[in-house]
Amino acid sequence: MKDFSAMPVASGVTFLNARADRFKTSLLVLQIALPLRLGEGRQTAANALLPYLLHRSCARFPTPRAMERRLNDLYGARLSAAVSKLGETHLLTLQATAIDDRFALGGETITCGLLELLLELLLAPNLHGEAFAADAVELEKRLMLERLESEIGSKRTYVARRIEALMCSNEAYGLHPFGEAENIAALTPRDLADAWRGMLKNSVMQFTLVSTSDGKDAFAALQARFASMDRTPSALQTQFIPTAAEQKYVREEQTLEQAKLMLGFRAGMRDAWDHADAARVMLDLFGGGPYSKLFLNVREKMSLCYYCRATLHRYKGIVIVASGVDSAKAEEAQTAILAQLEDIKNGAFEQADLDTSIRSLCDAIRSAGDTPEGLAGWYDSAVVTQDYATPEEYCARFSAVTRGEVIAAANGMTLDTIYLLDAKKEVDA
Amino acid sequence: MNPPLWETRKDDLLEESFERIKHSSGLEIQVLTKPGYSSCYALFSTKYGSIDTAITRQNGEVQILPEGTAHFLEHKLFESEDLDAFARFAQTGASANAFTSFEVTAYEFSCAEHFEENLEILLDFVQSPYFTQATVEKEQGIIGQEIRMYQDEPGWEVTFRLLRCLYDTHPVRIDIAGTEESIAAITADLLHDCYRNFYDLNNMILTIAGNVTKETVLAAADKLLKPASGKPAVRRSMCDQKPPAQVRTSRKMAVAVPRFALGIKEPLARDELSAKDKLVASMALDILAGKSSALYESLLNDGLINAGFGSEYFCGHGYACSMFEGESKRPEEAAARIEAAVLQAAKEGIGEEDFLLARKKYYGRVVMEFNDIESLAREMTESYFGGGDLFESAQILRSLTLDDMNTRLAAMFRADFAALSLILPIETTEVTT
Repeated sequence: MKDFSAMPVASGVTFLNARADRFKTSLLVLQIALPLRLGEGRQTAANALLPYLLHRSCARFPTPRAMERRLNDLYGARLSAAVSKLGETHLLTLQATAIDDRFALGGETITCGLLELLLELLLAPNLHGEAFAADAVELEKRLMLERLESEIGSKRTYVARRIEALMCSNEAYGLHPFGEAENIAALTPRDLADAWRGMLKNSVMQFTLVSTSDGKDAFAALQARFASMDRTPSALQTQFIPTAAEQKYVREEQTLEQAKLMLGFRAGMRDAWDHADAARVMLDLFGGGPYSKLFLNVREKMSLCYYCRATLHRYKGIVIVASGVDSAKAEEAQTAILAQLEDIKNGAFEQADLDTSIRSLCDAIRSAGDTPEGLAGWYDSAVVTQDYATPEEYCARFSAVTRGEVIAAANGMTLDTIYLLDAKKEVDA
Repeated sequence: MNPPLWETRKDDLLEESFERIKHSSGLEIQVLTKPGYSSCYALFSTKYGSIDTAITRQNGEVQILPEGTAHFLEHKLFESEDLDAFARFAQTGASANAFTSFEVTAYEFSCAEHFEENLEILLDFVQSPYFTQATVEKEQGIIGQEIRMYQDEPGWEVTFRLLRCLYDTHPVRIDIAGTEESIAAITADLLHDCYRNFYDLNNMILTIAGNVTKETVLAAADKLLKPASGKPAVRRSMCDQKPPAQVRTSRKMAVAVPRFALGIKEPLARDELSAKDKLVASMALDILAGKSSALYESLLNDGLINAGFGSEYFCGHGYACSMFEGESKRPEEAAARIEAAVLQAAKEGIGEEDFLLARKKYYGRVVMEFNDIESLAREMTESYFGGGDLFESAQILRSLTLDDMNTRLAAMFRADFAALSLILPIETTEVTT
């Protein structure tokens, strides 16, 4: 990935420019990072609501419909908001995409309007006096509450959230990034305005532009807005617990056809760089692609499941194994999953297996830059880490991981929480 | 031997072109080269999906197949006598997968390196069926869990339950993976029979986009493609003109927000709609119920929909319907409002400002699609099976008129052709308005 540069704009504000002439669009991603803290439920809920509130209307386009018609007029420009966690950092994202001017049939100028629009959303929102417009806030509260409720129906998302909450119940990572329902319901238009001002002052921001431009104009526009702003960005930290203290087992029931089995491990990491490459390679070998031990054994040999995957949450130092199994075979599946991990701990794998994982990881990250979202996404975590290592540098690091390091990484894993969402069968309505 | 005849198709305004050839084996091949890209995506597809529930031989003989056979065959094709396809791709680092839809089974890989080797693996394994009774039985457990996983997904359930209301005989009503009972009837012999009839190269297409040249593709095709029998199974006519068999269905599930899918079926006089008819119908739904519509605004403000609401013109061989799907605390009221509004709009027609905005939006979205090699290869496949090509959407949009839109709109909706599917929370009694 050449044509990449990272430029400081102001205190805690960075501009990343990724020039890519191969694309037909401009993509602009704004990431806003804030600390996620226990005991600050109302603040978390207010922060989580912000990107959704900011993207649906602003002073110039004060209703969602007016905003949407503006986007349609910009040849269907896409605008989206999202909230997530990166370790114990609360990440609020605004993202906008528009086609390059040269494809506009009427010769309109579209691209340069994109950054202006995003800055308008951020800096000139839909305020009435000192507070946000009350109807806009009420709408966003309802949508957030229903988004939370909707997760209960989306089983794979629900169990992923649930095991994080159970495993990290005394850590900020256990918090839901959307906030808790009662805190969302209690938010006022004033709370949101306070959160917005706090966010402008205290967040760490990263603007990433993927386009055919050299980024000079965008950088100048950002400097004009942020250079004189009084900013004191918060420190962003995550608590790493390398080893599980005691094993928890939680079983819950819902009316389901299939039980969901989730195993949460502590990865033995002291920070996000502590043998992270070895852990990544080891987990790919354990439960990555269709060549992994979980796929080949738990799915293919034992026919216990359709999916069984292991994921490293690098910025928290935990590993989650997720599978959907028959209720009666949940225990057998759990034993089989743990047996595969034991095999890696004991070195029961070939160098060829390790090479397969390294090859697959490298091939996938070398392809990542072939969509604008993939190219921008490569730098997502940089908002917290300021690590701009390229895919090639990562490939070199993965390729250098040895068999001994993989075995050590596996031996560093300890099982923390077993969560079974069991199937309680009921007759259909 | 004469040099192979590639045909170049171009669209100057999009600054894109692709090459196509009918290979001597019978296979259609389309290649789109993307300068500056690092990776490649290849898709090898056959016109065989879940709606093909019978083999209709060229002599007219019909053999009924268990539901879910196309999907089952897709899973099993990865296996071989020695090294299965996943293991072969693991040696190159490519990411490989496959999927079965209502009308197509497709095998794909993407890679940044070893493209030629990966293409050879793809062409080879799709042409080398190997099924035994033991491996078929093993797969029944895996697919059984896949079926159950989907049965727990409210979005999937609400849609398939709606399709079963709208269509009582058209096989689009069948779950793509079948049922645990239906797949129990699948045998190795049956899979071989399906393979022979549907995986004929004349019934298939290879599409590739990204960092690739047509010469590389042709070399692999010449080396590996085996001439087709030339007698693929015929997809029978299925066009459905009847009103919905059932107007309402509901299921209780472990959800907190009720979910609804409203479908308004369009009676079809022929199996395939034109690309223009499909595109204009989709635009009409966006104008009537998309985020920029007055209907969407009023539903949102009245608390009847949330951010998950959307509409889709859902159509294929012999079926077509407008589908409105979302979550709502008052699902029946939401559905009634939507149905009334679209029926009214169909009578009144769409205004020019709305039309022009939608045309701009759709054109921009077509341009955006040209960034993504996966969606390009998929679009080349879909447009080929539909009788058109990759550039048809852009070309239709450039010359589309308001008259075209309003003529199409008048045919889309009929009052007695709607059905409603609901997923309701288990904990509470049914939500009514």
